[in-house]
Amino acid sequence: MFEIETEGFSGPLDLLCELIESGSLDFAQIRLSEIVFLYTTYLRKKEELPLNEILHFLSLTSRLLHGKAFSLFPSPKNEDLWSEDEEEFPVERVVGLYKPYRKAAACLEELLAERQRCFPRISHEGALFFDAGDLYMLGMIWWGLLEEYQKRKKDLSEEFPGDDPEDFWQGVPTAIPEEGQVESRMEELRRLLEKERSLSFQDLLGDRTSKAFVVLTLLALLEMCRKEEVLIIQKEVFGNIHVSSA
Amino acid sequence: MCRQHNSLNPGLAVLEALLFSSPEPLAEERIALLMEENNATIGKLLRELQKHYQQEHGLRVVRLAGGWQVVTAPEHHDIVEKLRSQAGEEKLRISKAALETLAVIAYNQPVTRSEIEEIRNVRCDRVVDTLLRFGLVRIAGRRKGTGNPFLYRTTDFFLEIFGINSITDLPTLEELQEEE
Repeated sequence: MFEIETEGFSGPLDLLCELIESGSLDFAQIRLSEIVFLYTTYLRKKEELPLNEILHFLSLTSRLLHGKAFSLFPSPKNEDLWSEDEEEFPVERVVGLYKPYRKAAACLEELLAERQRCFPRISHEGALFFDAGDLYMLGMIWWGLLEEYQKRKKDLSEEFPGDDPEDFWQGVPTAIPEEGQVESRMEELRRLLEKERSLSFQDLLGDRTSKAFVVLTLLALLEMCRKEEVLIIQKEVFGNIHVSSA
Repeated sequence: MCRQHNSLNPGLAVLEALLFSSPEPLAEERIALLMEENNATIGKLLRELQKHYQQEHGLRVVRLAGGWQVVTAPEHHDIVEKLRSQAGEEKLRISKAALETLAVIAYNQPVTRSEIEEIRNVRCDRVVDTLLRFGLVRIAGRRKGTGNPFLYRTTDFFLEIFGINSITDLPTLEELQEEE
């Protein structure tokens, strides 16, 4: 049985967790690195790797780590950290939930092995495979819409020979923003940031403050940030956003 | 000289030719259309052909992925495998993590990646990507809600690879749980 002998505490790890969680012991008094060191020394001496025991250790130390991390932040209700549910958060429940899936995986493994004993005829062409998923559905919708559009256009021009059938689509909003718009906005932003290395979000918007334009600018900035072209800093919540070339 | 007792009636012979020429399982409905017969007749013929192949043949007619396919008999596995490996064909190997992720998808489909991760308690993005690449799972739409995450489902190729006809052929989670 693993027991901790450290400054300020001597006993089993679960007791340490309980004392800390009940507030009888201060998080600051315990050094997690020391506990991990003691445990690895204990395992080395033991010369075996009892999986369930290690799992239990990891579960307890992650509880300590969780609590320690929370104690670093100003929290008005520290007691909420260990709610009823979390106190009863046993590793067994997680393992229990997953157990049938492990069995199902073993069952699939058996099926696969059995199936691989039978060979179908070799096809040199290979089955066609579309790694599109969503795109297939989008394609179907697109062709359906196009067909509908052409049908309606034809119907309208037959019904009202003088009218422009394009008017029929008036009032249907244009999709904003779309990929092309984001890319051209990125180009604009690149040019702006070339002139001045650092700008605020407001500077980037100028007098174009419509919702669509703000969204477009944000999307372009996020994409540029992902490509490591810009650095976005917001020092405080709801504060101004500063954008600079990376 | 031909062995008369092995000859097939014309309907069965056509069916045999169709199954032989198809590299993938053929659905009963498709065969029915090709042969201009009703589904019930085709079903009957298929079972008859299956029975016929079980006697004195190195092939089997099996039902999988919602269709029927001609495959080699499992008892000749070793020798056929030699031929296949000489032809450079490799067996599909699926890691334990991928099998467990597949099991989670198969039993909960359609399912989002975060739901898979909630069950497995580990990140699954790479495994899911690999499964997508191999065509064992597919994107089956998006869940309405925050972030509109992708929904994943197993494919017909999954059924084919594991030799099952439909997902309901798998034992239920309750049955697996009871197996102690």
